[in-house]
Amino acid sequence: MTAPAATEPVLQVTDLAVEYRMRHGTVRAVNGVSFDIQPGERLGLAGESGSGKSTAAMAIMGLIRSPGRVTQGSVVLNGRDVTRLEAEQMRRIRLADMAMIPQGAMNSLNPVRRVRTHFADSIRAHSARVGDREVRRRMVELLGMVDLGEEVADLYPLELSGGMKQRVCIALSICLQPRVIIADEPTSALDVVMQRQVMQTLRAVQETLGAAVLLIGHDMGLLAQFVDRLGVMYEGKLVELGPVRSVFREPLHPYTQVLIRSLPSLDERDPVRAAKIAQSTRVPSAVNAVMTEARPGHWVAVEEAVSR
Amino acid sequence: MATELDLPGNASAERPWAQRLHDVIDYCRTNPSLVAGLGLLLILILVGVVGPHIVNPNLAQPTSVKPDQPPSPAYPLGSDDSGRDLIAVVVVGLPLTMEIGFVAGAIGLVVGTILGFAAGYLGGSVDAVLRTLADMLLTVPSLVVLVTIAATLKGNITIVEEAFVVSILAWMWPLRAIRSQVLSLRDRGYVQIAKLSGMRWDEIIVRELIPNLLPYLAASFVTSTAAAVLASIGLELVGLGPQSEPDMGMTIYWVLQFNALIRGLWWWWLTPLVCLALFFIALFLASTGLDQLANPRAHRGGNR
Amino acid sequence: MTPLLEARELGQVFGTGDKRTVALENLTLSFDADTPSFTAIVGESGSGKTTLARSLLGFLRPSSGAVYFRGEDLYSTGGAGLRRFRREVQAIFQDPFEVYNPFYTVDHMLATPIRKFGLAPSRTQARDLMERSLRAVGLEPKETLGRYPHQLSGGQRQRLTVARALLIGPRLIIADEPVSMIDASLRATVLESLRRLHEDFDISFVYITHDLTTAYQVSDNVIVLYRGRVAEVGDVEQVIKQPEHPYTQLLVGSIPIADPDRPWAEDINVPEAGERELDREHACAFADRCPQVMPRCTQSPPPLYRTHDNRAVSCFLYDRDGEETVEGDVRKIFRSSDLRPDPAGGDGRRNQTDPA
Repeated sequence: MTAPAATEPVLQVTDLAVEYRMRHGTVRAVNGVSFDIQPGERLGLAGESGSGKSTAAMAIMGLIRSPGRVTQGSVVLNGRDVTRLEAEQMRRIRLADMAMIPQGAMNSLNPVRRVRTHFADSIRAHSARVGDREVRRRMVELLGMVDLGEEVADLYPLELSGGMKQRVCIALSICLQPRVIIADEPTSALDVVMQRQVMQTLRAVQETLGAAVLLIGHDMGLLAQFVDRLGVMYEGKLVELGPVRSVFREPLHPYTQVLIRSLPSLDERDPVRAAKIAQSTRVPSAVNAVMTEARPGHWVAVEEAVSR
Repeated sequence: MATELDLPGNASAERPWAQRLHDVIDYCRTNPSLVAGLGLLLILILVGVVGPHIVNPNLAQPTSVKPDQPPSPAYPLGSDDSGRDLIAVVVVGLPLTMEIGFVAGAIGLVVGTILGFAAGYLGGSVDAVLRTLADMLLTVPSLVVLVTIAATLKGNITIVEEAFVVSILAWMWPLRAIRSQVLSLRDRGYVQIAKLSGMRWDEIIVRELIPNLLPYLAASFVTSTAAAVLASIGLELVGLGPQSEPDMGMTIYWVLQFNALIRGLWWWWLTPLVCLALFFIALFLASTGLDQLANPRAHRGGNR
Repeated sequence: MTPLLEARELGQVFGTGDKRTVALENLTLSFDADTPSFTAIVGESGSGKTTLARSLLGFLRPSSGAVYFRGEDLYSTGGAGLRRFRREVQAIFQDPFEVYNPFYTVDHMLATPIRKFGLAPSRTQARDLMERSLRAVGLEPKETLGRYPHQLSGGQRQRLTVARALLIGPRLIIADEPVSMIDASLRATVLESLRRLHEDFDISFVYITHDLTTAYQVSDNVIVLYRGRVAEVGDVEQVIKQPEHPYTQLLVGSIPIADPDRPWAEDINVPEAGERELDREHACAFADRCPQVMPRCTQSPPPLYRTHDNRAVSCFLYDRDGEETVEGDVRKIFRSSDLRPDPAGGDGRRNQTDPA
């Protein structure tokens, strides 16, 4: 693999759309989303239920199944559009180039197999002829990267706490040194202390590998702590995208404003004010909006034909 | 944090009955088993309801027609060795078999449901006793029990008596099925809310739990019925059935008694077998359909 | 002065032998009948907070100790006593979908208590009561009544459960994680309606959560639970801004602040809570993870030390000479008879009107 040019994004999502065919009609869960991720960058995708962020993540990971379908757009990773790949090719890419930590990953660890078996499966899935000692060595190295001791290898998943399981999932996902790590709500089931440790681990791992991270979540606090750039999704579209400080300091889209300003904070005890913001801010429908660069690097969706 | 697909159009206004009908028809398209099963059952029931007006039911009695006739325009299903017109036997006997099934199934369902609710909701020693009793009776070979009971009832038993005998062993599966459902529903949020609203346990069962268990009750009824018919056939085959009623089980009994197989009277043994097969297929399809009704698959579309 | 609801030396143990877990240990606290209070019970999974909620609501018989409603043992009271209990103590639960029976429209949720408690003599008055309660929590009756649960959003469903509680007119509402399953942008609205109920209708709240931030937003007092024991208790402003117990410090420090310029302090490396049942006779519950653990901490469990007026911590770090210990009775923490700290000692808090 030749090294890409310095400014070439490691992941390029262009005009992605995903539809679900339901009994009563077709729903566009993702409605034309575009963004890039630079090498080593941490990009966050924020949104609430129904925003389409998880569906977008699944589309990028190649996990969309019937009745869902990627109906338009592309997801280019390492020069290849992963939405056009067959299942087998996708599987190879998944381990080698793109690490995935889907929602609920820690609950899909096979409860009747020890941790070391999970690693052996992952490592050998890509290149079958790795010797036992090499597998072990690699596994201990990976466990060390997520701050877990070698003794974890011989345990079963249910002997691990939530935070430890999630770190095992992180370690499993990076076993082939991917260039992008996609994590969908990696800490949603964890308590606040474990959450902090898992996110610290993820950052350490990411920096060591030089990989980019796409973090999907709904916890604005967590995203503020972790990402370099933040995108906000609403009704299947990106409504804001920019450097994290810029977005937090000056949220431009009404929806982002609601998300950020109505957040309960430790600065003042005023649920009334927060509620008023939530209720009084009118959030326009995003269906016909187009992303325009309102500040350097900071894009916001505006209604077409509305001049500001 | 749920990954909800908050689908647009969900917060629609109340639906008029025309819309509801449309929804029902839409649903039927997704659940062909249920439609096929219920449809077939309906057809079979109609055979018993409409049949006697087309075919003379008296011809189901012995010495009504020329015996041992193969199927022909005069006797569409042929006749048996005793001179019964087999098409009349179907018209009279199939409903009798179904009656045994439905009556015993209903008794089994009612008893099993009441006991199942008691066991699941009240728990503790009540549950322990009922569960053990049901398990014990489930492992006993049912035919042995039934034969013992039927044999002690002297004389010729009627269809209804037979149904009662068979129902003695028809309540255990419904009990277990309902009990396990109740156990899973017992700690649901809406049960707790009901308790907080001052509802007593019996009210909770009737108002909160039963409406949500209707598909399970229906499915239990179907399986109960199937089990009852099988048990009744078993009884009849060993000669403990109602001798003067031409139901399907008795017909097979006579087939065996008169060696119809060896004598090549294929229309005689094929008829009850086909009827029973159709009935069981109908029950099976209905049961599958009800199971799907109770447990919609994930791809039915998130609606949370 | 009989408290409305009281737990005395409440203990809850699950399982036996190897699998024995102590969910709650020797907890004593009470809620006054006449003076409304807003108390948060903060803890993570395994802290015992949900077990406490269930015990206080009459859903879980205590393994040891007792729960009293107006002086009567809740778990041996008769039908009439239980009915009175349900009138005066209500709950709001975490999952805004599970609490609805999918077979009925959402009206069922409101109509049932009206019927069972005889809150309205006629159907029109019942309807009127339902509509008023809905409006009081900011819901439009036209848009909510007659709908099925899946037709409303999570926030609407949860607010409707608040309307239900309001309609019954209780003195105390136990809210178990009421906003954790609701979208962030809708949380403020639900929290605000809880606070308004407290202030406009003088209803006491027990707000159970793992989220310190929302606890800070709505409550006046906070009790921090760790593995079935009280770690720290006091005025919410003080406990959150100046946490004393090392566990509270860890919790507060781990909250991700929604400001990129205020990151987590430094990388922490706190061992995970062990799976083994801790030696409760001989150790502080937090000893195996505490960054400031001392030899004393594994010899005996610390009592609650009063560190200020209206403040107590269960940690040997605060065992100063002459320090008063509070024997685990949270009631005694607050010197005033109500659980609300003195408004005159304000810390920039919003105005509170005196109860009429």
